[in-house]
Amino acid sequence: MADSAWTITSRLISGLIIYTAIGWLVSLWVGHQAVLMAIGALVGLGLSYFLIFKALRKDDTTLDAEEIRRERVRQQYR
Amino acid sequence: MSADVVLASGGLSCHLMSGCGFPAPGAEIFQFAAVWQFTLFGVSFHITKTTILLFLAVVVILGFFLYAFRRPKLVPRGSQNVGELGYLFIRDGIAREAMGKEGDKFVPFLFSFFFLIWLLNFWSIVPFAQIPVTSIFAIPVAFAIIVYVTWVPLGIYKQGFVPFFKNMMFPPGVPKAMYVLLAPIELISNILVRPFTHSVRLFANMFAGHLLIASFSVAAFYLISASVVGILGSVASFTVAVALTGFEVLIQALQAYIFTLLAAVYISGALHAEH
Repeated sequence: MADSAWTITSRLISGLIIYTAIGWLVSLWVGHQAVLMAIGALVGLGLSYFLIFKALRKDDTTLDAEEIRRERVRQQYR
Repeated sequence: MSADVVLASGGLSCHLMSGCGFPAPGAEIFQFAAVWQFTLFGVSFHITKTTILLFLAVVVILGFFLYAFRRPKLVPRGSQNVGELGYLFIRDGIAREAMGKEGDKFVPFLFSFFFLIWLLNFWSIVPFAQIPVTSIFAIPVAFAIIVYVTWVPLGIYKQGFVPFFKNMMFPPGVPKAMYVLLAPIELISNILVRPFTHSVRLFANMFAGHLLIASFSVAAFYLISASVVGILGSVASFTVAVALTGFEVLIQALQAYIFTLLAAVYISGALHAEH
């Protein structure tokens, strides 16, 4: 997809927001607000990176497949 | 740069030799006094310089394209040539690039966005206008909301309510077990953060660019004095201000392009499930 470069920012931001919020919600229940929010932020960032890498890898392979297909077509008509 | 910038940041009295500190321009250079205000149905309207420039941009664009296509000829000449060049750029460079043939239906939508945003950005370097209207956050937000209420209902209509959100939340290429953790990220990123970044990208670029030009222009004026530091600093600041103005021309077109391209990409994502 052409927008893979543009989704990186929003994925990073939303991962950070959601898991920090989850950390905060858990802290309402068990206390240790600062620690849990920090852990939440790190977990969120980690998951965002994971998601970004996986999604980009997928884009890469589809691009490669498309390139290979085109090359095959080109050779047929040579 | 403009008189109102110099006046807004301490006036002509503030100078290197007059003992006051550097009047760095801040957010106040984006605020203008109301030229005319009135109340309609309990809502008070303030017509400011930026409002006038916004309306003027609409008039200029409408005027140009109506003039260019007043008597369209098969072999375009003059302004019709320019108009067709703009149309083909949007159609082939943005709409078809993102959506293929289907994109032709959305060319008017993207076309309006591109030229309006470009001109609103361009006011930044037009003498006496000298404020990019898109650096007022409400304007890019309004544009982003228009794009948002276009692609979300379109996606629900084309793909169906449940599949639309399902395609959005479960990106391919991710191990199944991770979906519990990653689906909320995708949902928030597409539904909430996407319109936010869409508007902030345009706003922040124009805001920062205008502030930079204003800072260096004020510095060029502030530093003029009969001292080596003053003269060198003033000349250097003026040179940088001119160079930044040239750079802004590039950024203005680029940001209008990026905003329109992203709108096209979002619409394309709504038409078809990704991958």
